[in-house]
Amino acid sequence: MKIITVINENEDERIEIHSHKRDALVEQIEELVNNYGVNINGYRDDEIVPLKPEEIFRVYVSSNKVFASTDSGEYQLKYRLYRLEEMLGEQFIKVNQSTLVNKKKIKKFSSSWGGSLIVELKNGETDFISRRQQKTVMERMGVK
Amino acid sequence: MKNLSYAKQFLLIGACFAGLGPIVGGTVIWQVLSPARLTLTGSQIFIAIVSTYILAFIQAGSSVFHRIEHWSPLKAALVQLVCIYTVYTATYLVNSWMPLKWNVVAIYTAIFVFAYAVIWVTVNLITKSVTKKLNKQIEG
Repeated sequence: MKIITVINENEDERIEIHSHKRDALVEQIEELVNNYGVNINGYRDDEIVPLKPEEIFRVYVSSNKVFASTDSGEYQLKYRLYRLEEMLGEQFIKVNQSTLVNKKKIKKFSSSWGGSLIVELKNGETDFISRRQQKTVMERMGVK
Repeated sequence: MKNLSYAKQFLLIGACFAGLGPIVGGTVIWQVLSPARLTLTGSQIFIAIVSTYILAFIQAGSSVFHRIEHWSPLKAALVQLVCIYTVYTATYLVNSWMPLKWNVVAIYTAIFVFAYAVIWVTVNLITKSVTKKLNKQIEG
């Protein structure tokens, strides 16, 4: 794939991708552009840590508070879940009413004896996929 | 609807569809019992109308169990089964639509449980198939 970079202060800034198909490279470029400069502050005890979307495994609501789980532990976020869904973009999938998971951090899917669909993340965390979100999850994972 | 508690949703959905019960009950009396020249007393008709109202209320309202996100399909189906089975059985017996004989009640119960078992097995097979497709996508 060729790269053409045009520096012109008088034009609107934009990135166009011309590709034969949507592949891993296209997705990585989109992810990089969409998440460029997006930092979400995570709060824990007295520290405030800027979190990059790619380091977040899961964003979830517990006791009316929103948390993000990362390799370095859990952080509280000061945004509502619907706002984070907008901010985090395509990389995150809403799996139920109170959880967003990072698509890149999914290890596998499984089903429970009771018929629930479960998502397991690379850090070992699991969450259920609600029946309402099942169709969206399948679409976002590229399953037709 | 989304912001209502599940109990309120149950009551609201049940109330919305409860009126269908007496319509079905009335149609049965009009189309099936009357041509067959079966006579019903006033109190029998009253009990039939009230019980079909309750049937429709519970049947519609209990659909809310499948909206409770953190319940598995099995749990939702089992709670709905218990709820509907209890009301249907009571209604059939009170109206004498089913004789109070253990073998009749046993066959009726078996049909009820079998129908729910089929639903649950189907749901489980669909979930397993979805899981397989999603995992294939991750591996690919």
